[in-house]
Amino acid sequence: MKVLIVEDEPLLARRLERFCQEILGERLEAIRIANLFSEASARLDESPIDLLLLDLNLHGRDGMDLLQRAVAGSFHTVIVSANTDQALRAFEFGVIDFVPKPFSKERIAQALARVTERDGRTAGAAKFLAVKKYGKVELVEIDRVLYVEGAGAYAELVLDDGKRELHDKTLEKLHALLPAGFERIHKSYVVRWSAVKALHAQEGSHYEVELKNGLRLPVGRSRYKEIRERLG
Amino acid sequence: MLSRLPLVLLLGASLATGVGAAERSWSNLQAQAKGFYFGRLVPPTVETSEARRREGDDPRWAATDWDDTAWPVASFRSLPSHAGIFWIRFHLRDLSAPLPDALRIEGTFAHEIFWDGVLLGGNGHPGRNAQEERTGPITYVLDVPAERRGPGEHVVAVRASSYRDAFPAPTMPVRIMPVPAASYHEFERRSSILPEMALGAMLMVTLTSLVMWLLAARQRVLLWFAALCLCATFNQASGSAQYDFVYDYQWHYAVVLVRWYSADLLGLCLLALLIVLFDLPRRSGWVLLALPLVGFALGWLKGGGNRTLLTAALLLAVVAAGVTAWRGRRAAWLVLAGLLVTTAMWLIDPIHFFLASFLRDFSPTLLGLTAAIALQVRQARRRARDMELTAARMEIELLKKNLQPHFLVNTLAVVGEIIEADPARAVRLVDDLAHGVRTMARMTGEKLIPLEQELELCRAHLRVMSIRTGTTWDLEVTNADAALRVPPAVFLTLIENGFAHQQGAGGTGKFILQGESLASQRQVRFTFVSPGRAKEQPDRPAGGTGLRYVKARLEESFPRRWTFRDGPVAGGWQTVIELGAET
Repeated sequence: MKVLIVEDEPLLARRLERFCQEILGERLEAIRIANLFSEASARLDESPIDLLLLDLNLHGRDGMDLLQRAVAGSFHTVIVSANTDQALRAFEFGVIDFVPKPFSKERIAQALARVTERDGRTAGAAKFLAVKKYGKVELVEIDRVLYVEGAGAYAELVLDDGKRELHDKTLEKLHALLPAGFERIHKSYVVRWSAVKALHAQEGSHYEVELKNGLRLPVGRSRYKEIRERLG
Repeated sequence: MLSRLPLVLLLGASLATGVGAAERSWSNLQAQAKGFYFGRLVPPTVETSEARRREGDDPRWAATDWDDTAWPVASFRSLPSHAGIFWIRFHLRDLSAPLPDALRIEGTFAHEIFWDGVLLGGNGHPGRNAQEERTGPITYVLDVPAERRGPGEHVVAVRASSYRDAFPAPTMPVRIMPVPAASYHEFERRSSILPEMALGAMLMVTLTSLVMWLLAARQRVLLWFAALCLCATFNQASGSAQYDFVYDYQWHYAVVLVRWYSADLLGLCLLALLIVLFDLPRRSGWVLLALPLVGFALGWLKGGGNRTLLTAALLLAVVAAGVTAWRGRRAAWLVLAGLLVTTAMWLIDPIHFFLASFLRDFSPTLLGLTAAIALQVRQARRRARDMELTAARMEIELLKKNLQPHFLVNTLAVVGEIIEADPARAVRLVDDLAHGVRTMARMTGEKLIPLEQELELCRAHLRVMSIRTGTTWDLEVTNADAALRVPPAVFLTLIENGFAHQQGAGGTGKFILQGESLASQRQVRFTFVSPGRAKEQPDRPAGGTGLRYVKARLEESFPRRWTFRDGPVAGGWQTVIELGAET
């Protein structure tokens, strides 16, 4: 795992670095420290990361813009901040965890677990997904997302009006951020469960769910039984 | 622009009319005064011969058949003053009716009246010098017995002297007229009502304004309004004194002086009130006050100064109110309207202005001023309330600074990091943090604190930040008077802004505060430099909460007497604050 720590207090940055090393052990491939996210973000294309530990003052437009740019990236973002009153807002924008300062090693371990574990989910409830579009960041309301289709290192958000938005995160990472109403039905699909109308069996043990708008999506064999039980 | 055209035309027309009317009034004043006021009580059928006067004293001159044709013709408007005993003789007759039953005499002289050679009465005793002369009332009514008012011509002879006449002029006016006694007394009773009402009203407004001045934060505008009304009170008191008190003629000059100078002071108070009410610039204010005085001096030299000052003051007041209204001050329109009416009345009829018609003629101005002052007092109260709210808000802001969770929590997080590795450093950090909190707590509720205390707070903060950031931060202070008082946490906020928006070069960093005494209205200049280059914050707002706090604090303690400039300089971000005197 490659980690970027953005913290302008050197003692706290070193504390975070030490905790990451101790918790992740050999799973930690690389760790970097930067003073400001705006300075470090330019280098993210050259050396991509998996996790951003970000100290951010979310008060004001400046902080929110930085947050949106961070969560639109391919990596997970954990906010480590003293501004706990902004935690809910940070979760709405799609951070996977918000660690209040002062922090303990146990709390950092908990945050890292959400990122590293297979079924790790966000500690909050996201309302938006930030997508990069023409060099800018736009917010997509999660209520408008019908399903998400994996496309390798990226994922496509399919909205209720049929529009598609490309997201830099993988399907797994997005699934970790989406609320409980989204289900993984296939290795390449996560669907809003309330949009599912019926389950259909096709020839050759192929299964599909039919959405309320008539669209059909493939269902993975490992997920078929559970979906059938849920649909009754 | 067009919407103000009627005002310009009105103002121009008023001024032109005013100047013209003033010219006419002054030149014809005496002519208009002839026969004025009591003259209407004299029956039109009464015929009076021309009067003849002779200096000297001879009891035979009272006789009806004394031949006075060789005496020079006299004018009642210019009889000799302070010049010994003199006699006046004239003839009276009424061809269609008996003569009125009384003579009304008014003048600054002691006299005896002879009717057809018989001494009828007098107001005192004429004398050959001041000691010998016995003074009497300035005005009185002398009954003429019915048996002496028979048909035909009657001779009135007046023996007079005026050593106690306090007027500086060598001549004096005298009025002697036959009037029906009952009608005259009724007329006098009615005539006294309006000046007495005006006197009472002015006195009440004066006292009310003074009470309001005491209660309403001693606003100067109320004091000037009280002074204006007090002048009007004295003026009206002098007017009603003639009716209410029978005073000896030697006091008349003093009464007239009170009337003249109270009118002049009223004009000056009116201008001073407008200067304060409309916040006129100091230079314009001095010009406004000086012009009537120059007019007064010129008028005095020409012998008619007593009316020039008030005329100039009223016209200038109209101009001042007009210009202020033009500039968009709503209340000035009310004052302008009132002033236009009053000024017109004064110019058209200056003789009645301070007598019977004062209430009517001056009320529009009083009403306009009262409304404008009421608006201003209301605004002042609103401002005071806002200032109280600001003070409360500033106190809360200071408390928030004291309890800043972000700062405290970050510091505690650092304590958590170093407490095991370097306990001594952790203790120092906690001590510095506590020192800063204590210093800040001492400032709570203060609008101004000594600079020394502020610097102590800044240095405690810098010691904490030095441990937190691993950079040695220092504050270099030059030429700053430690006893000088500044709003609390202003420089601390600039330091916090420095940490938030500037990036140090690492290793060491030095904030610089330089003081400088100024000769101008701003007494001191502080130049503050935060070191380092600006962080990349493209969307950083121009005025964040920190700067808003600083500016609000400056305005609270130095209202409209401070300036604030900031911008990048080589090696840092510079803030220049200039402060005026404390309120």
